[in-house]
Amino acid sequence: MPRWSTLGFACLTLLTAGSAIAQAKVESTYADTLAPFLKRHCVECHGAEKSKGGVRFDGPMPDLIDVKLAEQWLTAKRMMAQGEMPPEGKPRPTADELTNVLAWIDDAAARAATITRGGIGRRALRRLTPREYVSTAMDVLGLSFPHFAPDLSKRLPTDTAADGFSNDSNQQSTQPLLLRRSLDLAEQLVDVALPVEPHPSPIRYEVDLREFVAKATDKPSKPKSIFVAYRIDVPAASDGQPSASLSLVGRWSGPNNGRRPQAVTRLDAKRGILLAPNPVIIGNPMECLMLKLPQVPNQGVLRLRARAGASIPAGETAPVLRLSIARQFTIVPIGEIVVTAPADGPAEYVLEVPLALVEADWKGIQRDGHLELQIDNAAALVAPTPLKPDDKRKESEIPTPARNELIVSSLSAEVVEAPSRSAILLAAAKEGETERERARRFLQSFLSRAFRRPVSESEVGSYLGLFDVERKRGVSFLAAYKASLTAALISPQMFYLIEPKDKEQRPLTAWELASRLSYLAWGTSPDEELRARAADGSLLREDELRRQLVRLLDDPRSYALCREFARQWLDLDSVLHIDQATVLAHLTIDRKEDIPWYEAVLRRDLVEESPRLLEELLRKNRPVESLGSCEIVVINDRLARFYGIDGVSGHQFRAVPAPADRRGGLLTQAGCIAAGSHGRERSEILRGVYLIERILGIDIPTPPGNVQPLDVQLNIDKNLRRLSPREHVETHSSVNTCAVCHQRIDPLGFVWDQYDMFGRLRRDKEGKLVVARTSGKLPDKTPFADIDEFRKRLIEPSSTTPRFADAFNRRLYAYVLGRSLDHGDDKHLSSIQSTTTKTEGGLRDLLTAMVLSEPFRKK
Amino acid sequence: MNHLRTTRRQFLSASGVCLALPWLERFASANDAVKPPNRAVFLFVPNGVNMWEWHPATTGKDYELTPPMRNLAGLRDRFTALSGLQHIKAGGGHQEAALWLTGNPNYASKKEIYVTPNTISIDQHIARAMGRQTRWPSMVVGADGGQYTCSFNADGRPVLADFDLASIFAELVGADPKGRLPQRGSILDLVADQATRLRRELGKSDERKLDEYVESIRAVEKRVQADIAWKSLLRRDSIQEDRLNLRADPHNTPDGVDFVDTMLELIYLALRIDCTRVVAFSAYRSSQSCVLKHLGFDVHNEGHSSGDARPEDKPKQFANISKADAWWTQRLARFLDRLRTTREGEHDMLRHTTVLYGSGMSWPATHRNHNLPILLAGGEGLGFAHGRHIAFNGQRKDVPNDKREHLDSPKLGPDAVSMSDLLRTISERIGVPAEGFGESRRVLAELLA
Repeated sequence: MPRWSTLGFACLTLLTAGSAIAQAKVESTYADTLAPFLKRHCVECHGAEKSKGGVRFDGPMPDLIDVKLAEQWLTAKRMMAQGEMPPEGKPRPTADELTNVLAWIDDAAARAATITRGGIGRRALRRLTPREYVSTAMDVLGLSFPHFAPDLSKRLPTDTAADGFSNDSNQQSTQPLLLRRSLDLAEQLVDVALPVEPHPSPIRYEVDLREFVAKATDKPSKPKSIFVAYRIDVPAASDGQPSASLSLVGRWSGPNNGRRPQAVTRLDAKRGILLAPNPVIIGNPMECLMLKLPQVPNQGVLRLRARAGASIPAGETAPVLRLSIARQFTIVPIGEIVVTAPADGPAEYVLEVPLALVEADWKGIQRDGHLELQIDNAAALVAPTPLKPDDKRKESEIPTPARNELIVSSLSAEVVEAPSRSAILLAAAKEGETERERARRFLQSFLSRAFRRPVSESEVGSYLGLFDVERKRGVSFLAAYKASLTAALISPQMFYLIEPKDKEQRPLTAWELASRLSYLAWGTSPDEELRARAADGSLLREDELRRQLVRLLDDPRSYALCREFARQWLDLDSVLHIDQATVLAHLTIDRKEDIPWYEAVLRRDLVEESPRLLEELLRKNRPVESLGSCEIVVINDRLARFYGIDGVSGHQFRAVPAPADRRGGLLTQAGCIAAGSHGRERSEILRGVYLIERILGIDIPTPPGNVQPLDVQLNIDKNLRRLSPREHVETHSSVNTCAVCHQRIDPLGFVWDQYDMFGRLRRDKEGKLVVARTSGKLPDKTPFADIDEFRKRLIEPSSTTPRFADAFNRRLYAYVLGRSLDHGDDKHLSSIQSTTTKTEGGLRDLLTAMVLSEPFRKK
Repeated sequence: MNHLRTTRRQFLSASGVCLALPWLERFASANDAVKPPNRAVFLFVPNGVNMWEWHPATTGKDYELTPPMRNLAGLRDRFTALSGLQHIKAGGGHQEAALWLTGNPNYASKKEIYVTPNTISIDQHIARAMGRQTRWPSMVVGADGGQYTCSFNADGRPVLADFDLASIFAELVGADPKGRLPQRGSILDLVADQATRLRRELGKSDERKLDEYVESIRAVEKRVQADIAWKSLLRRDSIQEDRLNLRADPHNTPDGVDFVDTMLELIYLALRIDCTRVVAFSAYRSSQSCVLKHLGFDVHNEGHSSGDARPEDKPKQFANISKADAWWTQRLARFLDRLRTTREGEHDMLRHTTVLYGSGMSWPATHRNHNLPILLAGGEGLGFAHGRHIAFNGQRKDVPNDKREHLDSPKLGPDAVSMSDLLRTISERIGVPAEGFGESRRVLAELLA
């Protein structure tokens, strides 16, 4: 245990004069109050003669820095508080006695935890999470690709547990694999920001699709196969370049591949091509435009301009123009943009894609010698009207339903050098400036942005040294400068939020505080204004800190906070990963068609709904409780359709009045229900675990390895099928010797009984609502009849049920501090809570109190 | 500072040059007296097997190949089937991947993510001693990647498994289109220097975190140096790119086959060009069925559904599990065949490559871990003798009976043989002492010629 020696050291340095007095008090209280109490009530069973459970309370004053010892004492405290100890039949301590004893344990444990951590606001060196790293690198390099589809942070391995926060510094580790991937990424990003030279032969193609349509419709014969391509040549906009070609690929008409009719792409001589939403997500899009470029650009930024409009029938959603790189059967989506301009007034949409960051099969594409770009409409489908069993119509006789259509009237694709070679990275040399001075000038400003603080001369000197070494090796000025930038991007100063040690606890410096604040609210490095407030030190004043927090939270970028917190807290990303094939297997054939899971766009909306609700409530400063009980839902057109709410158009999320079945805030969001259901039809217990752990904040021990999921049990034992789901769960939990936990878990899971695994209202085959039996019990045995009563119980203050707000505050505070909480944080948290409760403050006040609390502002 | 840096740099480049010469290249130019390197490959398959079928009924040389092993018929005298091995104190469950190569009875995990530190795994133990001889100390890969691994370092932390086929391949062949390597060397120099300076400003607990960073920088630096030295010697003729589908996504149902085939081919390549000598492949996490989805059923669920019943009561479930077993042994056969058909000196590559294949569970229904399904192949050059079925701890084949005897672990005496003994034997034959590894008590002389 080498760690203890370190702790001992930390302990010594921290015990200043003031705390020595406090320590003396702790000792005297132990001698006066604790020791006699223990002797009277505990030592008989937990002493030298008998030591039940291997636990003894007859020793000298315990030093709770020992984790195991602390655990034992805290358990004892809990058992005494709940009246489990001393056991029945033994004399009871009086309430006063007990209060003193419990308070002493609390205090001692909190002090020990603080010492272990090394300070009140102390956290282990925190690394930027993959997402924060990518945002920071893009920001300091001045790169922004709002419509670029791939998530670059996925290239860095994650290293934190599934139910912790990725910014938890206690869990993060740094390994060669992470560093290697970060280096790769840093090199690529620097290349995109500062390309070596313009592409030798400019690539630029423009085509008016109305002409294309005119030519295509001239073709006399009916298409022979179901996949037919009309094709024309598109001459290059600059001289001497070969032509590109544009084709329309689609399931033109005819037999519908065994599916019920969907919308089909149409040609319109006046408006251009009307792309229907694509029904298939796995594999190739069924209908798309394919632009084949005769060259292969291997760097630069691909810019696609499309004049496009949308025709959106009532109840439909806005089309999404998706750009992909296609090679054989591999389609790599690279950009998406929602098109909302009206059909008769198309607007220009611009997609920019840094090609160097696209992970396509470049080797194969180079071999082919051409690049295929695919453009399609990735919008979600409306749910088709179910085909009645007695419907004898042939497929071809069923009229195609009205769909949203993406109208593209002209296209242009070009490859440009860079979005704009950023002047902050490198501008022309000043007069009389040597190249070394120029490099120094720009490094100085780059380093201070990347390191989020002013940099010293010697630091700039080191990076300039690298520049010199590279120059001497004979590489160009630009390459040498880029090497210095790359080094800065993988340096420890960039990787970690560094808060150097001091002899004693100290408040954070203005720069450290600016970083903590910025990564909390925006998930990236401080912006100019925040840097200015850090530079003049005003950020250390409480009023300025408040002002900056308000400014950051008012900015749309604060969505980063809501997104990261809500997605990790509620495990929402699992909704994206639930396997489509598994989901399909759980459904019957005739329902396959309307599986919302097929729609990647809708899945992402489900994941986005919770963060958007949090964002809305945070902006309005609504109380924490509104997360679990809310008269609004925050949705967009696709979710509105999914929930059956009328009158919402457009892809932006906005608040609308909630229907009766969606008034539970997070608790009635399809995304949460789906995340809790893990893609299983029979998921009562899983839902119970989800609710108890994530919503109520109670830790449940891991089940033994040999427990079988409910639907598996059904397969094994046919007798079980005769039971109702509720009876089945009850049998499950009593058969296994797991009743201790399951008594608390199982009765919770039924609260979502009216929702299926996608979070929709459960319906039978005829489409009628299934009568759900939603009654259950909270862990403290408080009964509830349905979801409405459930959420009321969660909110009302009660002595035994952990309130939703308590659990939420704990989670949020851990996220705010960027570390897991321990016993030393309890008093800060409870003072934050009581302040907020007293002033009837909302989420914003809560967050402000957390930011103003000592652990956030002190090291 | 400056002189320190130079010496480290010089040391690294020097060691880089001598270590980066691929063995085959040296071999080609030298005479036959050069001994081929010893290698170890650990292939981990989750979820156990169809236990009614897996283990042969009789021991010794004349055992009859069981159905899943029939895929390996052509390699019969190159592998040994093992029965009766288990981790003696550890329990079953979904932490089996973390136990497989560590044999650590005190390990605890939650949702397959560790909660207590583990102990070092045998592959990392071997790599610590031998890793300096190759460009990569070890190759740790898997379909789920990240923390879902069976490799743990000396601190007991999981060694993150790589899953990115394209990146592995690029690093393997030293893809370096823009001549970046020398530049990377200087970059890493600089940041290592910055980290050293920073170290002085930090408190003790932060230093530990920063040390991870510094170690990572060193590891990447070593790779870069080795790559620089190796670059000029690259021989691409051993690479058959048509065998590689580098874009295969293990989570995309139809790609599972391609993913595993490509990964095994990359492992073969890494051994073939002597990029590494220690490989650990942990297929995927056992509560899912990732690369096997194309078989049309969920292996984890089928395992549970089989419920330890008699084979005739659950014919469908056991047939499906068998299908999965056979799928894996087919992949294994391909991989072993690849090694066998590659000449190395007078013999083939398999002769100096010990391949351990198996699962950390036996009965999939209950995730129990006694009588593990384990195959040991290759490594005759290290002294292993094959072509037999060996049963340890008096293990007999499970036969369906009413007493459900197969549910009980055998009573083990103090001289019981554990999985750790096998791991230790492999390590010691390769030349890395491993006395006292995990629960090990002795070297298994029974396996040797």
